[in-house]
Amino acid sequence: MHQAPAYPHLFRPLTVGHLTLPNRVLMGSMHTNLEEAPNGFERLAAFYAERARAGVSLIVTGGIAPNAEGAVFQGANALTEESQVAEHRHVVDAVHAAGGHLCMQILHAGRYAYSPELVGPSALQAPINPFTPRALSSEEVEQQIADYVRCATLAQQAGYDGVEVMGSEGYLINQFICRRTNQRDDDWGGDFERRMRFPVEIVKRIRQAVGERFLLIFRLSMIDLVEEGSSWEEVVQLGQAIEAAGANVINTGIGWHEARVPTIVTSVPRAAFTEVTRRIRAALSIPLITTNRINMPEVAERVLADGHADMVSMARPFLADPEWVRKAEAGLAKEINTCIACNQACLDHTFMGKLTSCLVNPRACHETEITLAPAQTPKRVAVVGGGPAGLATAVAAGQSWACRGAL
Amino acid sequence: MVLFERRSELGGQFNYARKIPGKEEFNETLRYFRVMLEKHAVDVRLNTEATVDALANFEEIVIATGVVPRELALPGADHPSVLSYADAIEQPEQVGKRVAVIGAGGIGFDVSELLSHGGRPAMEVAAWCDEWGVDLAVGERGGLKAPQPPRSPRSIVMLQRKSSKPGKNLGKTTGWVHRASLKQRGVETLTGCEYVRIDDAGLHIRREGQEQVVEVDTIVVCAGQESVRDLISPLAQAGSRVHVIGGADEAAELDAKRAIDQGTRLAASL
Repeated sequence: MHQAPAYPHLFRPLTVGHLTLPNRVLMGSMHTNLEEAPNGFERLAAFYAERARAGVSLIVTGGIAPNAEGAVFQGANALTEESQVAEHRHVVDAVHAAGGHLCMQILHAGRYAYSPELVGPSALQAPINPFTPRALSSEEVEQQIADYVRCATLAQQAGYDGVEVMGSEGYLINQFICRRTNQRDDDWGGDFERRMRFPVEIVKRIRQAVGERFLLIFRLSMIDLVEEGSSWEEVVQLGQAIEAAGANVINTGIGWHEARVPTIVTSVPRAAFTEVTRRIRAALSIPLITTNRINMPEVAERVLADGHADMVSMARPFLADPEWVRKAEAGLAKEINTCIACNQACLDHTFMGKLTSCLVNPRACHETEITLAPAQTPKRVAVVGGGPAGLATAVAAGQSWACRGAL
Repeated sequence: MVLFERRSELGGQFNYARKIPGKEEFNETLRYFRVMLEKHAVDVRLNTEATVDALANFEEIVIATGVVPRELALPGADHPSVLSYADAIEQPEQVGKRVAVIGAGGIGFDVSELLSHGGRPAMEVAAWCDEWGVDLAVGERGGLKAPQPPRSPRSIVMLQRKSSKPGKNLGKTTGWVHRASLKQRGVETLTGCEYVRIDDAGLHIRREGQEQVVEVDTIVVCAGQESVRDLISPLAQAGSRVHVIGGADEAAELDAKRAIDQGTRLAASL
């Protein structure tokens, strides 16, 4: 018996670069703070592998800096030398063994770096950072590009299937693109042609260094939501230049971190921004990924069916439920533990230097610590009160006993 | 496993959160819990008060009895203009045009958000873009346009005892959104308030040494909550193994994150 799939667009294969993916779901980049924790890479491996096993075909890691000054905070993870390749390989191998693909995000924070050593196109302080960046010299800009290329090459050595170059959310690349933060008048600033040269050169030189069989995703800010951000014509021109420079896929970035418009919190309507991705589609020929506040299969399906993008990115929904893809494919959307976009245990934790988790799924990033498979036989348990605490207890206990029964 | 719930529906404090415009996603969490309870064949008993006798035969008893809103202790606290946050959220039609919200914590913000919303659905993309000044066609640089603040159907003032910034303890990455949303709706805040009494004229407060009347039709009390713990000592005396979690354990800051984390970790150890 053949049953029509519940979400035909979501589960139609897609070829991106050298990879053919069975579905249109990307697990988007999230910094978990495991990157810097003791045994962090081991725990990251468990975290990603659990999602890959449940059908996530393509994952992008949390941001890894190409050099020390580009790290989001002092001491945040940077990939700069060969001695670090082994710990990355551990994560990559775990994801591959689980049937998934893993790309490493290269993130240079620029003037958003929470550290006194920060750099930027111009010495202009971000409204969300107490530190003011030092303006890079022309030679230093060349060095930054070389650092991106070195980082991508090391990622390739570690076995990653590709890299995502973070070009949005107001980080360094975005800072070069916009006059708001780039007041240079040299090869790297002035008119738009020169302001966009930094990302274009990064993509071009990474492609030259890694060859064709390595996925190159570029995350492009399509709506900056700040004054003196890019115009639509500039967004399109940049997209075309990035495609020509050798990117395989363009992912959508929405809003700088300093924007005074919410872009991901629960009060933002679902899929509010996918329209922006749709608008650029006609001007480009490589696949496009759209994002922000997509949390349930019917939302993802509608976005794809309406032709807004080739693929959807979700990040926090995979904290809430590692089995999102498997449940969607099986037509069991009602069993999905939905991301409510509250940020209370993910982003709030990240910014407070705590490990990321999830309000509705405390096991997220604690996979090796909380396991729901006790050895004993079920007892007679009474839960008094059907609020969040009681519901969580009853459901988690039910789940762990079901696991036990299945063994 | 048996789950006892005194009320006619599951959800506890989430049943208030899910009614707040912009917090519709909490419905999904409750749907998930209901579906999974059924899947795992948990015996759910609604409209059932768990008594010490009824609990006698269980090996492990999880007390997740939650909280009740704390009542005001001041002259006139029983005035007909006074409502608990629970009443205001469940029956917003009872709330007048001029409102004082006592308490500027998470619930005070939620209640103010609810009461300052007009007719348009909160989760409609076009309306949301108008409110925040977003132009998805990126007609101007950055995709910004002039925001069109929505009109609140009520005039609302939110008060707090402390002189610190209202909503100081809201989420690090979300608090600014709640503050901006209320500001756009013209909700005023008064800090450093001492509550004196309530009568037909409204809410009398003392602030910076001066007594003043906040003239309002309705006063909504969001001044914290208290743990419901009546079962704990009788059960302990009866020799039962009792675990206390969630609001019943700690009511100071209502915290679904801690409640769910405690419940999940406890379940993993049962």
